[in-house]
Amino acid sequence: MAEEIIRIRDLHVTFTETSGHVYAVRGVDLTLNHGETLAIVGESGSGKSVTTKALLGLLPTNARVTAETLSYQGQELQQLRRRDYDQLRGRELALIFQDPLSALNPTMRIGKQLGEVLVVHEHLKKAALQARVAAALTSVGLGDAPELARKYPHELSGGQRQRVVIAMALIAHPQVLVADEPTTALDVTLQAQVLALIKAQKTQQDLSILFITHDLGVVANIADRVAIMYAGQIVECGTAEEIFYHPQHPYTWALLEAVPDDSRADETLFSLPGTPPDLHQEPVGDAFAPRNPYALGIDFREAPPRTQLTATHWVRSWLLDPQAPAYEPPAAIQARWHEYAKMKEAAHD
Amino acid sequence: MAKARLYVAATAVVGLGAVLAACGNNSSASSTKQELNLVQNLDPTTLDVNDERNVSEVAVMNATQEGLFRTESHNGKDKLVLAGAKSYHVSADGLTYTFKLRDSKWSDGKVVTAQQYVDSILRELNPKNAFAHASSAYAIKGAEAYNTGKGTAAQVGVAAPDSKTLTITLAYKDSYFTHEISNVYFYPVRLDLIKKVGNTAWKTAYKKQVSNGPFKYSAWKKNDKLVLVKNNKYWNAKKVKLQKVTYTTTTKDSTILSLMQSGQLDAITASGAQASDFDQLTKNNKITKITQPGARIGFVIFNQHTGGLSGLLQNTKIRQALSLSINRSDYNKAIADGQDNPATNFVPKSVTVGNTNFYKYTGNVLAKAQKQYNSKAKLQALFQEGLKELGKSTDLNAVTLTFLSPGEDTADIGPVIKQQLEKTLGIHVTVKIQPDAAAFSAARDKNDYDLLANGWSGGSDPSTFLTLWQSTNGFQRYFGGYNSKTYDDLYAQLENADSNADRLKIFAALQDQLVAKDYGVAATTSSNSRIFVSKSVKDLQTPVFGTPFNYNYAYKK
Amino acid sequence: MVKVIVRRLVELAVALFLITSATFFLLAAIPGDALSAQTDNLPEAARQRVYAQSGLNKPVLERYATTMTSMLHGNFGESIADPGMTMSKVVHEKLPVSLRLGLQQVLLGIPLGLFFGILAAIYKNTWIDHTVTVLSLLLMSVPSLVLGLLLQSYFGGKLGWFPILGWPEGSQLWFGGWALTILPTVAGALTHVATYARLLKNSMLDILGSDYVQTARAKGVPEYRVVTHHIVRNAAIPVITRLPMTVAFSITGSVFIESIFVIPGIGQYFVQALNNRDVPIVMGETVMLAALYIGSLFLTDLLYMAVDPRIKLYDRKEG
Repeated sequence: MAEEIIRIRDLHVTFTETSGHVYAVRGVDLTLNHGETLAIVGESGSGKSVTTKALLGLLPTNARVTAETLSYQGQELQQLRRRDYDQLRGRELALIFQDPLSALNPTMRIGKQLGEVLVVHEHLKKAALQARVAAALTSVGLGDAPELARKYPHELSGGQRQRVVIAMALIAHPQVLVADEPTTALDVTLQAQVLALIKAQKTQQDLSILFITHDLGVVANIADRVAIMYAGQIVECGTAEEIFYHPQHPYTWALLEAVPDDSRADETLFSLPGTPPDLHQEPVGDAFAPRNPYALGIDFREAPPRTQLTATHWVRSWLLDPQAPAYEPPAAIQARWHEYAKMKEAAHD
Repeated sequence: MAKARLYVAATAVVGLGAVLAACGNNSSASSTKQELNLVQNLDPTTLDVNDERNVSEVAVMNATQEGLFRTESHNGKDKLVLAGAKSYHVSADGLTYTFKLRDSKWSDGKVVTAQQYVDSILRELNPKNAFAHASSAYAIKGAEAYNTGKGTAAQVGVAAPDSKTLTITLAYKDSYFTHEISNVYFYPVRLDLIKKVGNTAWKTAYKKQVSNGPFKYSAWKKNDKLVLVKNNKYWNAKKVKLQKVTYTTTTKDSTILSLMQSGQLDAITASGAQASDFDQLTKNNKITKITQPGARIGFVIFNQHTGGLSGLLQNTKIRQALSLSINRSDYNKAIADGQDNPATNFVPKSVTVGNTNFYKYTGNVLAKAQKQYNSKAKLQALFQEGLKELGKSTDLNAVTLTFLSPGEDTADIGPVIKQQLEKTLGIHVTVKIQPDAAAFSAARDKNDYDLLANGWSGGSDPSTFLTLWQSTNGFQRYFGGYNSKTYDDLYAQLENADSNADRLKIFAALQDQLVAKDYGVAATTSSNSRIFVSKSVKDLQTPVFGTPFNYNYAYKK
Repeated sequence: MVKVIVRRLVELAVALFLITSATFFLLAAIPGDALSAQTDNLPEAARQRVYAQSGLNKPVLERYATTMTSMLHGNFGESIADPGMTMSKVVHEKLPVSLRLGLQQVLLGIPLGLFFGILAAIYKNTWIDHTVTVLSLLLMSVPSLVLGLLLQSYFGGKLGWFPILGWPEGSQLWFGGWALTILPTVAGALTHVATYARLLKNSMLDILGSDYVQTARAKGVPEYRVVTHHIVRNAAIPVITRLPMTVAFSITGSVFIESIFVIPGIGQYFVQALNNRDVPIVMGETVMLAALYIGSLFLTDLLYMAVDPRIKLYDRKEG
């Protein structure tokens, strides 16, 4: 079994603003193992970005971060001084933002921005620097390195920029890549290219990836394991197979059903009614209850505990409690479960 | 780390401030330096004594040049003393003046000669030059003829029989003549230098000027300052104690106040509301206040060139009604804070003929008329009589008069006059305010007005005020165009006046004609001077007539 | 690049021509003329003589033609109100004064303003930020005239720390005589402090919240380097590009301060010349000031191009 490279236990992040407190992350448990891609899926406001930023120490001063564990390769990251964090960032932990244009300094040439990581971490000088920059650009499929290095961000196309951003993140050969919705701003063709690129880099550099997205299609493409986040908590976590074919949480079901599927007969798109809760107050009970068609009475009073289904699969849901009444998931989900059962049988043979 | 930067920066700012304050401290008025600081509202436009035009020029020329006489003043009484002349003699018939010059030099070492006085008089009278004050010399034989192009320079009664003797022959007896000849425009001139430098450059090239007076020009920056330094070649230099006199040009009242407050201004004559600000300063016991009668008469002009925009002002009854409707004591309170004197007579109360005070001699010339028309109704009836005479409707409400007002200093006069006339006569008065001096002159010259306000500072003789109303006077453009043959004839009689008693009679008749018969002008206030002087200045003279300060013998303690 | 400069110079010439022509005709249209101030104390005969000598009685178009032709030859003529004062004298004597005053105001005000702006941005929403914001607002609302009078009457009059008026001259024209320059410099600099504090604060807040700053931090770039390499350059853009206009305005716009402190500069002189309808000086100064402004605008464009690679002044060849 691969070793844990990132371990997060009971992470809480609370923002203090003039309007009061915002409980953005309320007890998140996450593990990233070496060499795997973990996708974090959720709506906007679910706390996905905040979690990763907390990991990298990039939250503003009005954020209070507490956790039982927040560690990288066993090293506790809480209370780390800025100077020490700087050593980790870029070199061990890399972050890619959603919008490639705004992630790049508009008044700095590409080459310089790319090289900055090396200057800061490896203190490289001219020739070596240029070589590495050229290599990085080539590795992401951008040819003509010297020309490109002299350009400014606005002179590149959207797809080129995203490649540059990826190259910039990986140029120092970090261990972990945190990608915050890197394909959301791109069209479908570019999306496919970028995903392919990331996968290739992963293999090349032996990366471990935390991939944030709200797009299940992307998840299917790239993820080994998936964590579903809602209202600052992880509600279900498991391997891609388990999540896609044996989902247990009603929210996961809703997400899966929301993916447009032309095999379906009806034309209406599925959407989950209601909106995520306002996290200015800590929700009582299960935060998802108000929108949950399968909510039980207890969901409104007490938050559901973790139920471990397999070594890799756990869910927070009262439905799995022995005392819960029987229920029937939606037809499409049942179909998936059916598939899952068949897959398991085939594996045993 | 950011906090540390903050503290360092704050210390730096405070430190810088302290250094700058220390640098600035060398401005404290040093009381043992013999330097006098004054202000002027406008710059001289010329340094050519013959071309003198404004009060700043008189002040500066008085200090740097010298004529036959000089005005000294003690306790509000002016006196003419011999200066360039060491003695003079008048012939029995009063027509020939012989001056003996004292030994004195110009600042370039050349001797002051009688011929230079002759040159000055002739240059002043030269019709080609068209200098403003030529008519002041008309008492001299042949002067008027020469100046009006009807005679030659050779026929003018001035001569320098030798380098120290100047003889002037008059066309008629003039007991005021010594005063007239003591004005700056008759100070001696150096034709040799003027020819070298040229007339135009002579006006402003202060470096090329020479002085025969107690001070000489050191520096001149237009609209900035003018600096005089002691002229060591002056014949009386040992009595001159000041080393430097600086005139700063500014019109801002608050700047002047600040200067006085911090001791950077030594003396000033204040007017109107400004004076009460300075009154506050005297409380700090560093400044003294001097009040004395002034030399200025304020008045309202009636447009008699064209009758004005309303066409009414050529009628005497209308002018009379207007003049009598002005409440002079209210006007004085409103415009001058009650500090000046309400005036009905045109000649100010400070003027004398010989030893007789002219105002005491004549009394209030409007007294009778004021008693006769002592009510609104009577004044309105008078005004309507005038309207009838002109063949116009007697509806007072339909009458509109235009008061032309300049944009700045005297801008408050218009509304006061307007209010008084409207209240008393029931007519309408519009105050037309002009944005600046040039626009004001343009409007006045186009006769776009019925009324306007003006003032005049004259000399110590009634002639200096009454000559303005002769129809030939060059200043009639500004004074409404009063034109009376009776007045002109009366004025001509002055030439035959034998004694001061005669002159008094003629002057009284002239004033009466102008103010009480023809109502050619409506006087409003006769000035009082309020002068503020720093206590560190001693022996500063403040003449009533002429230049406000005579600092030839002043010093600082 | 050469093409651009040439084109700009042509535009400058055309603009100057239009501006001066407009000025001339506007001046001619308002009542009053250059000689009325001078001749208003003169009797009639003297007045006539002065007017006859001046040529002011010729028709407008003829005067326009004469003026423009002589200007084209570089001859702006002499001041009518102040004979002997030519434009070249104005440039020699008065321009340095305004230049020095303007530069001092800028050199004092802008760095201070930038400093406070950075403070306000870093310590956002603390008392530091609020103080800077309120003070800036106050300073920007109070006109420099009022500030000047207040400073003069308090520090000069009441406390007597500084001279009330005047400006260094002669050998001290450019350097020295600092005491005289302090109050007017401060009066004018305070507006700059306010303007640039706000400008930089807003610019910095913009940038501090931007993604690329976050990215830089995410790359492990230490904070000082984030500031120097990422924040400063981008935050400086609006500041740098505003500089030329600020300097130009400082030099030409100190009319009030010059008149309160009796400083013989070009601003006050221009207003006086206007009041006196002194055509040669007004025309000369108009050309000078217009050229200064237009030059500043061009400089601003160049600076934009130099500091912000996103801006193209002309078509650069790609590739």
